[in-house]
Amino acid sequence: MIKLILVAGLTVLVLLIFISLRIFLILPHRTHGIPQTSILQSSRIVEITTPSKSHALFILGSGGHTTELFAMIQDLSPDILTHRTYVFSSGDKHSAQKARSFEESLVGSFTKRSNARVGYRLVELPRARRVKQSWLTTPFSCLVCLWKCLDVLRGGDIAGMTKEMSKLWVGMEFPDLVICNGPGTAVMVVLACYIYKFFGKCTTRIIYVESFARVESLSLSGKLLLPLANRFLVQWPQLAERYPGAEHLGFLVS
Amino acid sequence: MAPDSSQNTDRKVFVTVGTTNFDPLIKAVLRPSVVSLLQSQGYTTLRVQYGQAAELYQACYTADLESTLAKSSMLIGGYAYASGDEITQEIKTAELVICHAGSGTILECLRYQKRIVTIPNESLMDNHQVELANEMARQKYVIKGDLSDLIPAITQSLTFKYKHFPRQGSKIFSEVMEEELDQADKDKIVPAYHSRRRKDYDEWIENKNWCGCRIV
Repeated sequence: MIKLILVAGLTVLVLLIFISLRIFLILPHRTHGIPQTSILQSSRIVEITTPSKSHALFILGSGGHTTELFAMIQDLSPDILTHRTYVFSSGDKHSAQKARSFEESLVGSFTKRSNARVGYRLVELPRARRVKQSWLTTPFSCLVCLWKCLDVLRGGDIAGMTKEMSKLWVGMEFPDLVICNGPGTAVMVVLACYIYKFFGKCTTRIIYVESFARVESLSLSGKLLLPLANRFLVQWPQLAERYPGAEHLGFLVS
Repeated sequence: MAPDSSQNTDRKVFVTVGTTNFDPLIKAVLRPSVVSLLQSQGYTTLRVQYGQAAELYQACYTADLESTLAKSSMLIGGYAYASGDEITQEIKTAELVICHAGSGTILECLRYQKRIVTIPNESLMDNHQVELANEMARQKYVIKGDLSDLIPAITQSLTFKYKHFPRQGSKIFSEVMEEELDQADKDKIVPAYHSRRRKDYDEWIENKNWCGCRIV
């Protein structure tokens, strides 16, 4: 009997060690103050040209967050970021409309003809917690949300696209970048991302931008995502001083 | 910024409370003393977006205010809400904006380089309007007004040297995105290279228009 418990205990221990090692490996290790790219300037390192295809996933939140996000990405070049996915919380028609009009505004700026055909994905996510929802049912709605996030990340909706569209999206399911700036849904998407990272399915990098309205302290999602984001940008220098790992590059919302 | 009387005869003040409730601001602006100060500064129109405070807005038309208005040709108009585009249009055509310290409204005004008097709404829960207003005022992007008396802030706004809000934010962010895209591609190679199936790696290079490795 004791033997059995011992074996079981050891197995659990080994598993735990393995899991924590894996998590440690996939967590971002930011070098403070040094831009990420400088790592590659040491000798005997390969030089890489930007690949022709890349995919970014933008997480749209409620009013203010969405406005800030589109202000930040208004200079985006669709030739560099060829595939774009927008996720919005269920019922947030306003954000969905903003995404549509942003995509329409891009139309003139394609220089590669192929990119114009790629189009974009606009996906609705159930809310992790509705306003005034009971805390008892919250874990369930979180799970539902997480499940949908996992599905979006692996491109579950691509099968339902028109033939032409899905042809362009196959192979580009996992985003290269996830860009979020505060809404609660972002936490679930990032969590889903880490589940795939744990199993080595994707190498998605996460950029988090704290809202312009946050001057003295981080928002809840900011605090949660601080150790998980590959780049954590804040718009006020006070925040960068207070939270190690946060980066201040000036105002981004103009 | 002297008004060009031949072209720009309409000098507008726009007051906005956004989508929140901010009754004290409406009250503070529609005081006869404040309205007559705006008149004396040469403004010809006062537009108020008052949100849910329709009754209060009506109640502010006291005899005092009427008599103040009778002295000159200043027009006052108000409405509850407007769409984002309409608000943008209002801000664009206004000369002075008196607003709550919501980040969206402030950013919109800064984009069109308006004179801004902002008043934080301290009644909102879990809101950081005070912090934002203080910091923006400290850096001279806006003037922070006091609800009990708006006159000093409005007087100051005529001569205040507003700092220009930097415009290159989106460029900086695009650079960050490009850096991270490069990094994401580098991350992809490593597992592929160490993969037991060398084929994966070759395929990756082919599909990604990889130009090959070069030892630097």
